[in-house]
Amino acid sequence: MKGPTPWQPEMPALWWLSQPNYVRYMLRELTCIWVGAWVGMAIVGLIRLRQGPEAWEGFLGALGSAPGIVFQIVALLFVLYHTVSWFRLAPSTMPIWIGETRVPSGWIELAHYAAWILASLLILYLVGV
Amino acid sequence: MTERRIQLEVQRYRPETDSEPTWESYDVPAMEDWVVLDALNYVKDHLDGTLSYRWSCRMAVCGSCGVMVNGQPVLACKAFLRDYPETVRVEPLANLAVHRDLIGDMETFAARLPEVKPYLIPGEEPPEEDVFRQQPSELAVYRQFTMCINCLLCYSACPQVGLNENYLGPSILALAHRYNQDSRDGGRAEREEVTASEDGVWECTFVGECSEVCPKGVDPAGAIQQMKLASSMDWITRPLKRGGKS
Repeated sequence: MKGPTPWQPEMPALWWLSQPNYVRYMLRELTCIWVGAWVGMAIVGLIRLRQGPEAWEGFLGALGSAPGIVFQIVALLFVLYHTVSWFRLAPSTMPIWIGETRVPSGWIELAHYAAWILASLLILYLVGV
Repeated sequence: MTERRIQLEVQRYRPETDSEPTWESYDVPAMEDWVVLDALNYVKDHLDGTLSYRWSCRMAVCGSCGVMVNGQPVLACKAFLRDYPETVRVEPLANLAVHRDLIGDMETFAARLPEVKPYLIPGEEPPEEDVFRQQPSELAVYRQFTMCINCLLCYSACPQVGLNENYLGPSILALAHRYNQDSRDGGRAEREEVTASEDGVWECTFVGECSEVCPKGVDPAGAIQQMKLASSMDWITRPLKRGGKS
């Protein structure tokens, strides 16, 4: 198409502050850092466990320290947000059809929560709670 | 009864005289049943005949009148003035280049749409002396994705479109999915050469705003995630298929 070059708008660096949904999206993306950090901490725990009782006690002591507790609370909040937002999005990635009717998104979301609860109960049983 | 009035602030851009867009404000009546399009038409008819914008059906089926109203991409014919405050700011759709005033560039979109082959590529010939048969349950699977009116509101809502000029975008990918899901179609592998490329579904990070703003309920975000799953499965099972051909 001939004519003057169209004016191209620029996307501001803080584009994600312009909409609440964008802010929620960025928080959701940030959760991966906390998920990764917690997994890293768990791996360190396994290494300390392998290194013997003193190392393990040291690890538990670090977890019980003030920064350790703050880290775990913040990580828990982000992991919970990660989980809840994922469960909300999952139904649109996996449509299930029965004839001409689509299984309601709410059922699929509930099924995820049910699986989470069952897995948690199983793990608690296995660790002897 | 005093008639309600609003301040319609419109972004203007005249390429022959302006180096960048400016704002103009118009005092416009706001009848109870008016939409933003009515206000724009009032300006054009009574206040400023130079105002340029697209519109056609005025009933949300043609996809022509997409604009940003108070920061949200909407169809001007579907945005009721009674739902907005005294000041209504109208801009061209975000992320699109601007030709003039409220007219955003649709050429790039139109040029790239054929890349995903948005037409039926039959997997096999229809039965002799007959046509393709399709069950209502088979139609149901892809019908939602046929509703796209190419209004480009989803392109305005998607930050990845704004950040990556090579990204195909929600509407084009949803249309590819419409054909992939059609039981008469056999062209998914062909389309995946484009949709599973770096310009395709993998640029999407599931912000989901495209589906929020879609005026026809197409759910392009869902379509794209379903295509990610399908193309991943195709990639994993490719060596298992006969001959191992891609």
